[in-house]
Amino acid sequence: MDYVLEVNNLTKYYGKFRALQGLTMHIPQGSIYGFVGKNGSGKTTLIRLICGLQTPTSGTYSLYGIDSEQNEINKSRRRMGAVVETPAIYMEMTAKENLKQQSLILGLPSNEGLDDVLKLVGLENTGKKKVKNFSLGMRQRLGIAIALVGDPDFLVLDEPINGLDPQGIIEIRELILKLNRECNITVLISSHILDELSRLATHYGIIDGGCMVKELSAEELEAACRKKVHITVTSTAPLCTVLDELGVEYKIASQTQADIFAKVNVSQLAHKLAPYGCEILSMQEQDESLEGYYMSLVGGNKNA
Amino acid sequence: MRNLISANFAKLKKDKFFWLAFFLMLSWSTIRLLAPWIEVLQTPDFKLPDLDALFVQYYPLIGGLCAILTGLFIGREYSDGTMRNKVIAGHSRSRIYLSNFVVSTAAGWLLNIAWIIPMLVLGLPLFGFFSNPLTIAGYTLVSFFMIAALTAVFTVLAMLIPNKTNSSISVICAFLFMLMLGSACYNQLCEPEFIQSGNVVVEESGNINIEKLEPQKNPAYVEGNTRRLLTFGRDFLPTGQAIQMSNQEEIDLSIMLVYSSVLIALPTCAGIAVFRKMDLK
Repeated sequence: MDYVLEVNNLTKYYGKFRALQGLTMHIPQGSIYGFVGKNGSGKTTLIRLICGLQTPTSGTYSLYGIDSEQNEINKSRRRMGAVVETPAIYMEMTAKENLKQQSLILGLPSNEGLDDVLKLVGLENTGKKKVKNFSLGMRQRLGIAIALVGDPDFLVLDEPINGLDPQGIIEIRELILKLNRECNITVLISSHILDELSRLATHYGIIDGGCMVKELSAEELEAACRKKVHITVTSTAPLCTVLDELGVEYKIASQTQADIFAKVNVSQLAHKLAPYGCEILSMQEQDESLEGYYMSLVGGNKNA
Repeated sequence: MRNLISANFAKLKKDKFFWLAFFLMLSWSTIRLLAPWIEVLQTPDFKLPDLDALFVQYYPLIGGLCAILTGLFIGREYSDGTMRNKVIAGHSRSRIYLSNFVVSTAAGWLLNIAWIIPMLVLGLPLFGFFSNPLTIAGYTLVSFFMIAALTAVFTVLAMLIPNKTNSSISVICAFLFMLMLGSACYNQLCEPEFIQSGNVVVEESGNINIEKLEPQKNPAYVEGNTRRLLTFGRDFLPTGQAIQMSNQEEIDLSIMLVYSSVLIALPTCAGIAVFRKMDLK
């Protein structure tokens, strides 16, 4: 698999505070990578490091195969666009002037295509309105538009839907999906709004205390989160025999507990277990979401 | 770096404070030229000053405008977060630093030119040619170096303090400190070595005579290493140079250009070294 970004054992200290501890991460090309973690877990620190805003205390990362310790890393960064925390925009300028400014910074030969970028983010009708008079959602979209100047193929968005109203959240979500599907841009989104992230991401990285707890694809998450019936019986040995007879997928958790990945007819199951002297003590249907999965991995605090 | 400089100039073109300062310098220069002529119209005996004296008046204060301009120009990069865009776009920290220094210096030079233009366009027809054109040419050359040296100091502070308010205040304080230090050095060195004193004698006839005494040694006059140190401070500090030029003192052109060049190079190298290691948010 081709990776846009590979992070190897990255550590970052701020004074004595350890923000990242040996973090490893892999972002496949073409993916929307949801970066999940609590406040202060190290999401923004990692983004600052890969954007070149800060230098790691130890460890490396590679962007398009170029190692962070090589001089060419600056050049490879030209293939990425980023919105870190708040959008980096000149408040006294219009949306178009901001894009022209970015075009100058990148040294683009002409300003052709800037109108298309504005259209893509839905800001084509803002005219001479200065950015300081924009709504939060409009500023966020302009931040993404600036990141898109220069046609990057890797977009890094740090908490892009923070503080947005429901309409704004939908607009940003649709924009990200459009960029990924139509422009084939790989996207890294950090967020702690898990429900929203689960509507977008094709891959996930779950971070806690500066460490990567788990990396998985959306398919793997779906498999981990699919509906199941958690059953407690007097003995799982006869349960295995009966479930095999029924041709149902299951997983034994202990001598008395198991997970069944199918809808079960309780009466039929109880009837079939009876000859073995096995009784059903309890059954619970479980439907785990990303949030549930996250909580099971990280545990405790609900503030993801 | 060309891209960064172009982007910074485009930003400067839209900078309200820059245009305010530019027109302030233009107006101030024009008013200074017209004021003596208004005085002549009201008091025909009024003696017009020469153009040289009017030309040199602004040197100590242009540094203040440069301080505010640099503080706001670079500070806005941090407050708007746009410094990040330059790093993410793959520009090296050294280039980002230098481009900000170059454009801030150019802005200071433009303010300098804004003072000079009315002096030439209006001043020459109204007051005639300069009495000491070579001295004025030398002052002008030194003033451009002096502005670059001041901007180098302001750039270090503005680039290394990532908060617009704090950096603007620090830059203005730095300017005021340098102005006071330069002024203190200059004033101390202006003390005469001897003080002429005398007695006032009232004769019986009612006439008043002043009887001169032997000149006395001035206790405020400094000598030896202290004098050398003060002379160095006066000549090395851009504000000291400005005060000397505004008082039409004789200056050593080459020494001042060397001092300014050192003051451009040292803070810039140190600033780049620190900025390269600095964590940006």
